[in-house]
Amino acid sequence: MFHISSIKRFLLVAVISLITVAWLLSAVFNFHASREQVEELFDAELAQMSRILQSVMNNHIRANSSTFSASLNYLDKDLLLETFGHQEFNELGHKYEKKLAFQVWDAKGKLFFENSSDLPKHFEALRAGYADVNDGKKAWRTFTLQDPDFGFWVKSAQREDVRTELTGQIALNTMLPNLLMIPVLIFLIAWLIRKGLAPLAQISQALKGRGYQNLDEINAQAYPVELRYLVGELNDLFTRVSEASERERRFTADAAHELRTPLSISKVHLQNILQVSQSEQVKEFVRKALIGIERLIHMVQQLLILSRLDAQQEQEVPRNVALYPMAKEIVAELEAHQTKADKHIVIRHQDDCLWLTRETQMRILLRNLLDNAFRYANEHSQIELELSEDAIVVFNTCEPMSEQQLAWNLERFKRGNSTQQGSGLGLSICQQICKQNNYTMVMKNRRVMKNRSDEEPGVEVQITKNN
Amino acid sequence: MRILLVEDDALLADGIKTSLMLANFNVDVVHKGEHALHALSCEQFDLCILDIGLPGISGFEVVNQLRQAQNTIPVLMLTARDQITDRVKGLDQGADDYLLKPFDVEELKARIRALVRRTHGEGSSKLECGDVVVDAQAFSVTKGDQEIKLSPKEFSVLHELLLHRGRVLSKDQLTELVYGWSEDLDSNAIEVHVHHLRKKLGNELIQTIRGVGYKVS
Repeated sequence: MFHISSIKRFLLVAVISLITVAWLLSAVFNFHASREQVEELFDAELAQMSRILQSVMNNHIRANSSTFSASLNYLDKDLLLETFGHQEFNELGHKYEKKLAFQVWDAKGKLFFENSSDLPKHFEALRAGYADVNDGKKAWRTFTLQDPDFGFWVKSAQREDVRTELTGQIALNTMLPNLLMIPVLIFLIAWLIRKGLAPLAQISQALKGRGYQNLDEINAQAYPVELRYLVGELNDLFTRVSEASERERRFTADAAHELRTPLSISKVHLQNILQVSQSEQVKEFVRKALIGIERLIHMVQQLLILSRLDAQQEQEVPRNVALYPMAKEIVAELEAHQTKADKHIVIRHQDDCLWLTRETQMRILLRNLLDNAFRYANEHSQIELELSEDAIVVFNTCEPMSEQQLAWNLERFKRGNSTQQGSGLGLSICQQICKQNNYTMVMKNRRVMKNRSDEEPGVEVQITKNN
Repeated sequence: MRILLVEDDALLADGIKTSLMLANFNVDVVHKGEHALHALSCEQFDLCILDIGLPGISGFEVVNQLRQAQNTIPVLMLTARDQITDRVKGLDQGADDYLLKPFDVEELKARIRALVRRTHGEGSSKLECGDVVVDAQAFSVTKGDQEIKLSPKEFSVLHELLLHRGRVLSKDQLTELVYGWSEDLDSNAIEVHVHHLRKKLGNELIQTIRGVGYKVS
């Protein structure tokens, strides 16, 4: 199947090729037509020259005698030479005159006169009319006629090479203006094609410059009629995508929202059982059920955050946010909520670390990164948070992960270490926030020195600003 | 302490009521905003726990109407909506506090106690009168160094009288505050509880205002 990768290139190549081929065909045709016409003109000239010579001689014979032989005594050859046989052209003649030759033969086959010795002398080959003569040295075009009154022959000739040169030059001269027009024509065609395709480029530019969430309609009236249908269809697509996205967002938000009440019911009743039960075994079961409920609550919360990220991005304007005070609040909150109190977060920072960012999203990002590190860090370990003007790095000790596990961590509902509690959404939310704010998020294994001789494995998540 | 719980979900309402009753709160439940407005206009409650997403009149509308009617009862809003705009709206309409579902029962109880303390101008969960100290959080009463054992209803009567210290509470008002709608009680139940309290704490603490009710000075 014919595939067009670039309309502009396709049109340029196609139109220029077509024009070039058409021009070449036309040039070949014109060249041949011009040459034929010039050849005919030369032939006519040859015939005319022979007739003039024949007429001059006929008149001369008539004026001086009744026979050709008798008249020859009165014929002034020098005069003939001077009239028809210029060996050197002057300012009134042409350099090509010497390329013209003629011969006069009497009826018995005796060459009476010639102006050029190059022209072959074969009386037996004399036949009235045009002929092409070639003696192996030069080719000639000849015209021969016999005087009807006195029987003498007049043969005029032109050198074939001169004729070819002249006809070629004349034909080429007719083609030259067209040849010179070709680059101009190519430039004009390229300009017109670019001009004609400009609206397509404008649409591309308009789409390219959009954020991935921008589903606003394009003004179809600003484009030519041929593109309005396409723009209209694009607008319809934007509307459908926007509606589908909104439906999905609402569904997630509504589902998460509606889950809060049943979760509350379960949690309240389980807590009541915990309070009234006398059985330690029942209490233990209930505590485990409550852990499950807490996980579910966490997941619902993360789903809600996820469904709201897009809307938050549109609503919130980036401003300078001090990361260190924000991180301190989050760390205090996370440490207060941990059940075993065996993990500790250390913050390394440069001043307040101002980032031009959306505060709500940055808070979610930091919280999720630290919460994730808290969940998966080894027991009795230290979590490191490094803040700088360009990067946020969170490190926690844990078993090293394979490349596949590291990739899974960034996918929704997948956890690198499936034995741990979590929604499987935390890092995918972080990744989405990074995408929306033009940050890069990288997760990799790292080893740190535990003491002088031992190294401890762990995982590092690094957020950096893209340029 | 008598609480009106306005929650349309019967299962959740039942769970919250049980939790609070286990903590010696007296809880009455209604499931609609209209019923809540009616109950609050007719009877005496110390606090209202109000769900926002009610059928008919919403929780926002209920609290708005309450405040327009100059009803200053502390209102704790319960909701599944976690957006800041919803919280701001609820508080602006006149709610005193806000708790997001799903919540921890202990947090609910703590917020209830804090709200009631704030309403009565108390700084802590302990109410004092002379050498008698009532700790609502620990559900304990001491007189001097001695801990006094009280029944839940005796505790409630004493707690209400201390919360409304200086004011006379009629027998009917005390009955409403101490007993819910679902409980059967004798007509002289409050008199019996006051009698027992005087026996345990001394006659000076609770004064009888003849023909009106009781008060703690």
